[in-house]
Amino acid sequence: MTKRDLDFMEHADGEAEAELDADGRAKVAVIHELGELVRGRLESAADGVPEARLARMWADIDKQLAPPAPRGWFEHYRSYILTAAISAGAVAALALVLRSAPRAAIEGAAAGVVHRPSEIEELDTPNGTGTVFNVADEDGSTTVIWVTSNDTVGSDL
Amino acid sequence: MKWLALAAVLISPLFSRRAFADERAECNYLEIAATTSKSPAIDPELQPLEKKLKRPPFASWNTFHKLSGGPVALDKLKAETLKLGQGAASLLLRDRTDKRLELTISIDGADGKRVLDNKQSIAAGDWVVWGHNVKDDGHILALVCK
Repeated sequence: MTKRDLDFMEHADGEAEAELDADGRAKVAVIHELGELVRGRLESAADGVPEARLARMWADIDKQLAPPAPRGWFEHYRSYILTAAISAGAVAALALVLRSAPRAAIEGAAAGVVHRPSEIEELDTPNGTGTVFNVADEDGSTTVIWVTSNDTVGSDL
Repeated sequence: MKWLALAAVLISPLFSRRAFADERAECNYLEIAATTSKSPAIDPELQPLEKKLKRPPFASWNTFHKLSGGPVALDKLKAETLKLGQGAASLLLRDRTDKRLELTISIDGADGKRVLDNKQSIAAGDWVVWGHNVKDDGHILALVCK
């Protein structure tokens, strides 16, 4: 059986284990030698690349692999700040509405219908007699407490 | 939680201002001498009370002169003394709401004798008046608080 060059190459790569004659073994030896030469040449070429050039290549690779530049504080917390501002505004508006609505109703009632005049809880006039007046005019009513001294009882007041 | 804390910080002034307002009253007073003269007159500074001074019990006099007056700030439960042109007065804010104030008032005459002690709940913005006879004349203290 005639062996082809491909068979010798498979034999050289260890993929075939058939017995070889002298010619075949010579060819396999030549293939091994040729492989050594090619590997040697490639290693030599790699060694010939300047270190500086390799460094530039790695730097370029690093740049491409580097994470994006860090964002600013505001950029980072923008969503939190917006959420807080909107929430605070809503709460403040709610507080104002809840606070002002009943008061407006009370003020309306007080001004229009129920105006409570002064309420006298205690009155002590040790040296005279106290009289309470309600002086009303177009501006409203005013409570007046008038004390007539014991010394002047019987005068005009 | 951060936004909740921030919201609390932002709205807290609304409530603190309200709490502060409940502890104080801003008042104005007028001390008035009431007399009878041939040329009736009411001091221009008494304009807020002018219409009332023409009605009883003030109608007994026709001349009203301002003796003293001005603003007075009352802090809750802290007595404030007014040195009047004729005598003295003591004002105490006992409590208050938006619409009403609870006051304790004491008035001493020029002779140092106590004229009156009064506890009164008044409407904010309404004038309240105390007065007494001084011989044939009248001595009046008017107060309005907000």
